[in-house]
Amino acid sequence: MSGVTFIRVPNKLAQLTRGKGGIAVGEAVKRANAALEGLKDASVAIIDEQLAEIDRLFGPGNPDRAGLSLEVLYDQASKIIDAGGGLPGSGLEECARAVCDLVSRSRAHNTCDWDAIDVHIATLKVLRAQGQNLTAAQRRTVLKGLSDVTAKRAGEG
Amino acid sequence: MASLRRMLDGDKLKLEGIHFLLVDDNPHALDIMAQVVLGFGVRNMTKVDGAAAARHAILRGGIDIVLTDGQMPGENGYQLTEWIRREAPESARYVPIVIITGHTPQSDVTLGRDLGANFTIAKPLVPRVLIQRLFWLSHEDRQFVQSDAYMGPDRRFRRLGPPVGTDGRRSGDLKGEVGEASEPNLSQAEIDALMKPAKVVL
Repeated sequence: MSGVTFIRVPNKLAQLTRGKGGIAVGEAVKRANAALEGLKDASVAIIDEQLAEIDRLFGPGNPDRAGLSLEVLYDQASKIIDAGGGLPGSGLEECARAVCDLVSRSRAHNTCDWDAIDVHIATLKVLRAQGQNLTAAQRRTVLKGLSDVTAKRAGEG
Repeated sequence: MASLRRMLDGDKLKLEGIHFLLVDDNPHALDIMAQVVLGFGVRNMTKVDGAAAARHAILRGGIDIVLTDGQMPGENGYQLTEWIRREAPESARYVPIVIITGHTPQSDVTLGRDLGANFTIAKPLVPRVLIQRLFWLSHEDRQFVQSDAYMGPDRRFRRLGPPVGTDGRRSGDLKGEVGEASEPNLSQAEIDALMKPAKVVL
């Protein structure tokens, strides 16, 4: 191999962060979580807005959905992930991530599996309505069922 | 590895003097990022909505760390990372880069690593996860590697030794061939003493 250089760069971050003073990590996390509380309502509003749009555009009720770009769905699911902290423990962000996986898979195989998309949209709605009331085991079961559907459909493809 | 030591709640970090560059096209995600670092005591930050604005901020100078979204329309966070490592002014080329992204397939995590990002974090952003990465970065002892194919922090985190079938490139790399022993073998008792479990403080 030619021209590989190892460079020892002074760690500026270490110089700046490890002097006297500063804030204890536990306290910093507490303050950051408190600061995020102020954005919680906005996060929930964004989640609801994106869910409604996903259902309107990509749900079975839209006869023209086949003409839409799945990149829009990917973008909407990404926004749910971004705001997922607004409904902690609901499993919504994992489900939205599964939507992104599904779109990526569709992109790679140049296919569009509407049955799988319907299942994902239905799961998003269930988790929005009941996700925070489910036990961790119940949420895992719901999400596992989702990934099984995707894997099975991909296997059939 | 020392740089990945477990962080304790009592460990201290002094972040008020660090200039953060926060990059995300989604205004709400940018607000979340900003609130989290403000909570950490950061006083100096530049928030931008895309890679082009991030490049301008970097060219102005003074940025100590970059937190960027991975997926952005147009030029994304991965391309920004590549630009910083390859084309940014020398003073900015080695800044720590953390990619924060919603969709994290293994291929994207690998891409970020291979373009020179220090870490990739999955959204939604969790304060404890981010501060753990900042803590690791503040204890970072990885060298930078510069070659035609790669520019960024050494990707060999775990130090598992040189790739199989090679002698390695580090001065401390041991050769695969050990050769004849130059001293008498250790007794079983001596081996047991070496293996004696020590108290682990977590």
